[in-house]
Amino acid sequence: MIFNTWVFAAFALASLLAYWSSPARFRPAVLVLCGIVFYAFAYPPYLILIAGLATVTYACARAIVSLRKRHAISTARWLLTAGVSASVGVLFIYKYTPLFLGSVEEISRGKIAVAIPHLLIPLAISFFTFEFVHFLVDVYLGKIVDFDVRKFATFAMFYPTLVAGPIKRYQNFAPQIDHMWRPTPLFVAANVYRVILGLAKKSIIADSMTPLTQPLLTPGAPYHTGDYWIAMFAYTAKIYFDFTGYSDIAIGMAGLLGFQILENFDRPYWSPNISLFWRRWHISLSSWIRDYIFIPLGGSRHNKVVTMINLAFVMAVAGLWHGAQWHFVVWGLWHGLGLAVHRVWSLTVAKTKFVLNFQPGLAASVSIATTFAFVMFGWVLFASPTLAAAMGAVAGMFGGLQSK
Amino acid sequence: MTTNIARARWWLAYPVALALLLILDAALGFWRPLPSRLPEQFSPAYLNLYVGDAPRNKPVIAFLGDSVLWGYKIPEADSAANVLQRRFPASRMLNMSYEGGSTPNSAVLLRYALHAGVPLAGAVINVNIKEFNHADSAYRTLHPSLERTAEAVLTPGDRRVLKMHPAVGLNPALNRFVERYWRFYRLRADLCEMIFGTDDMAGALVRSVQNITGTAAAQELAHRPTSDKFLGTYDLAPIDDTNVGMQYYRILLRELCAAKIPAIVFLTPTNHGLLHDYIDVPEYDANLHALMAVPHCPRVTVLNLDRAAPSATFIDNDHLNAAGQRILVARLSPYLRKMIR
Amino acid sequence: MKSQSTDPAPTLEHSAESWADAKTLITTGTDDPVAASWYLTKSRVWPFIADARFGPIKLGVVLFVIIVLSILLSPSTESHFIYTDF
Repeated sequence: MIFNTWVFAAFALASLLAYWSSPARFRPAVLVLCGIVFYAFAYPPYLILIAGLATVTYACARAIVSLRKRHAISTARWLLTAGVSASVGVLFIYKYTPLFLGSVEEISRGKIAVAIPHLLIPLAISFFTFEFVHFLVDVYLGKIVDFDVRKFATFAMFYPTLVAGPIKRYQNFAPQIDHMWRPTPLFVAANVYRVILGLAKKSIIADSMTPLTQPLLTPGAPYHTGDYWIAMFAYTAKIYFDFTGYSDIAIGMAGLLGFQILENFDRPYWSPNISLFWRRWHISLSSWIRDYIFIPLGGSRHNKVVTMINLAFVMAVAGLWHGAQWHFVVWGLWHGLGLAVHRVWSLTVAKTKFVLNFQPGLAASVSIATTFAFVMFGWVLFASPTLAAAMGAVAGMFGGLQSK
Repeated sequence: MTTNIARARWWLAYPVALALLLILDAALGFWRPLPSRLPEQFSPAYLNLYVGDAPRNKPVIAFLGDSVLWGYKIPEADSAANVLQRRFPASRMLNMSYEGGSTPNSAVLLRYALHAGVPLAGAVINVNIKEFNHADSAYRTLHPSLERTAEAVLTPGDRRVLKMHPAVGLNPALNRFVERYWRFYRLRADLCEMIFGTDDMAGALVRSVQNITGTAAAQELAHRPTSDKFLGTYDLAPIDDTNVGMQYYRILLRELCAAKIPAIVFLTPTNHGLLHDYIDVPEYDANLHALMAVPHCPRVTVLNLDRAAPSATFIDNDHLNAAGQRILVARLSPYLRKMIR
Repeated sequence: MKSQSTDPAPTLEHSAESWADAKTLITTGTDDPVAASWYLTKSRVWPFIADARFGPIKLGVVLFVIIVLSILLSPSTESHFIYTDF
C-alpha cells in the first residue's frame, strides 16, 4: 500500500478508528493485524516470507537470551550468525542474485552462465531485514533484554514504517507499546498536519520535478547540456522532498497511533561537510550502517589507511543497499571517497593557519556550497538507470557525446 | 512556551481549512467557463458540463471528430467551428471533437449528447481514413473521459467490439467516490488545463525549461513532419465490414438518420503532397470509395474532401492550418446555411 | 510618495473628489493609492497576521492552500515514492 493513494487514506482512517476504539490491551494486536493487511495488499504471498523471517529472528533471539543466561556464548554467537544470515540471505537471494550471477557470467566471460531467475522483490525487504539484524545483534549484545512476542510482532509489523522506514530501533519503540500517548486535539492536529505536509512535499515539489529529471533517466535521448544540469538540480530537490515527504507521513502516522519515531532528516543540504551530511541524511540508515557495519569493522580505531578503506567499504555497502546495480555501488564509493578526503582534510589542512584564519561566515558558506555540490553530483550516479547511463549523463553535462 | 502552544486551539485550523474548501467547492458550482472547444485534456466531469451547457434556446450544431476538426496547433479562433460560429451567430457550434477521435468516438458521443437532451439541429462530422487503421490508437478505443461519461449509453455490442478500459480495483473506486462528492477534486485536470495550458504543472514546467534550454526547438525539429514519419499510418488493406471503424461509421450514419438529425459528414482532407508515395495508389482510392458508398438517409450529406486542400494548407499529414480551416469553412458553409434554415 | 501618517488626519482640500476617492482619503489619510495600500496593509492586515490569537485561522488558511496546491499541482499520472523501490 502506497501512502499517496486513496486506498491508504481509507486504510489509515479505518486503522486509526479500530486502534483507538479498542481497549488498550488489544491495541498491539490491532496494530499487527493492520500491518498484515497493509503488507498483504501489495502481494499476499510475501506475507509468508516476512512472517517466517520474523519467526526465525524471534526464535533465535529467545534462544540467544537463554544461551547467554547459561553462559554458552559461543553457541549464542553461532545462533546470532545463523539468524543474521537468514535475514541477509533472504535479502541477498531476492535482491542481489541477478547482479551476482550476471557479474559471475561477465567475469568468466560467459564460461559460467546460470539462468538469472526473475524474482519479484518483496516489498520493504531492505528495511525489515535491517530491523531484524539490529534486533538480533542488540539481543546478543545484551542491549535488548525485555522483549516478548507481542512487542516484537508490533515492532516488526508496524505499518507506518514498514515499507520505507525510518528503520526503527527496538529499544526506542518497544517501551512505547506500554506507554502510549493519549490523543489530545493538539496531538492529533500536529500529526495530521505532518502527514498533509508530507503529501504536499511529494505532490507539489517532488512530482513536479520528475519530467525535469528525464535526461538522467532516459539515456540516449537528445538533450542539451543545460538540460542535464537542470536535471541534476531537479533530482536533488526531488529525492529530498520525495523521501522527507515519505518520512513525514510515516512519522505523522506513527504519531497518530501514539508512537514517536526517530527523525530521518535534519536539514542535510545545509551540512558544512560530507561527514555531517551523513549524520543528517537518512539518519536511520546511516546510523544503522555505522552501528552494525562500520563499528564492528573497527570504526576509527585503526590506522588512517584502514579507516579510509573501511569508510569506502561501508559506503559501497550503503550504495548496494539501495539496489543491485553498479551505479549505486559507484555512488556509495563516491561518498566513501568524500568521507575519506574529509577525514584527511580535517586531520591536516583544517588545522593549518591558512584555514583557521578564514572568515568564519565565508568558510561556512564555502563549506556548505562545496558539500552541496558534491552531494548533488553524486545524485547523477544515483539517479541514472545504469552506470553507462550515468557516465553518459556526466558526459552530457560537460558537453560530451549526448549533448546536442 | 509549551503551555501556550497547548492552550492555543490549533486544531481549529482544520475546521477553518474545511470551511474554505467548502466555500471553494460552492464557488466552483458557479464556475462555467464556456470555451468554444473542449480543452486538450478534459475530465469526464468537464465533458458532462460542456455538453450540459449547450443552449436550449437556439439551434445547436455538434462538431464531432478528431484533432483536425478540433483545430490542432492553431488558435481556438481559427478553427473551422469557431469561424462558422462567427458566420452563423444565431446557432451554437458545439465543438465536441478532440484529439483521439474516431468513428466509434463520434458515434458514442452523438448518442451521449442526445441522451443528455442536447437539442441538436445538425451535426458536422469529420471521418479520417487513417483512423480505420488497426494500429491507430483510437481505432477501437474511446477517449477515457467519454468512456466514463457515456457509460449509460454504451450497449453490450459496444462493450464487446470496443476495447474498454474500466478502472477496476479499490483505488479507482475510491477515487470515483471522492470525485462524486468533491467538485474541486473532480475538476482538477480542467482547472490545471485552464491555468497551465496542460493537464499538470510538471508538463508546463518542463515545457518552459525546454524552451529556455533550446531542447523544445530541437525536439520540434526532430519531429518535423517528413513523409517517412507516416509510413504505416495509412492502412491500404480494403476497408470492409470487419473493420471496427467501418462498423461505427455505419452506426453513426444510421443513428443520425434514426434521430432525424441533418448532418454533413466529410472525409478529412489529406496532405497528398507529403504522402504521395504512400497514398496515391488505387487501394487508397478504393477505400475512399468504400466509405462514400455506405448507404445513408437524405438528411445526411457525405462529402469527399480528401483532396480538397493543397499541401501548403497543412501542418503535417492531415492537420490544417488557418488557411486550411478556411477551406473547410467554405466547403461546409452552404450546407450549414441550409441546415440552420 | 505623498505624506502618510499612522494617525490619519483627513484634509478637506480633496472634498470635491469622487465619493470613492474621498472614502479612501478618509480611511487612509492619503489619496495616493500606493501609500493607501501600504497604510491599509500595515494598519489592518498586519495586526491580524501578527496577532497570535488568530494563529489557528492563519494555519487553517495555510492548510487550505497546501491542500489546494497538492491537488492542483500533483501529476496527472500515478507516482510512487522513490524509496519504496529499495
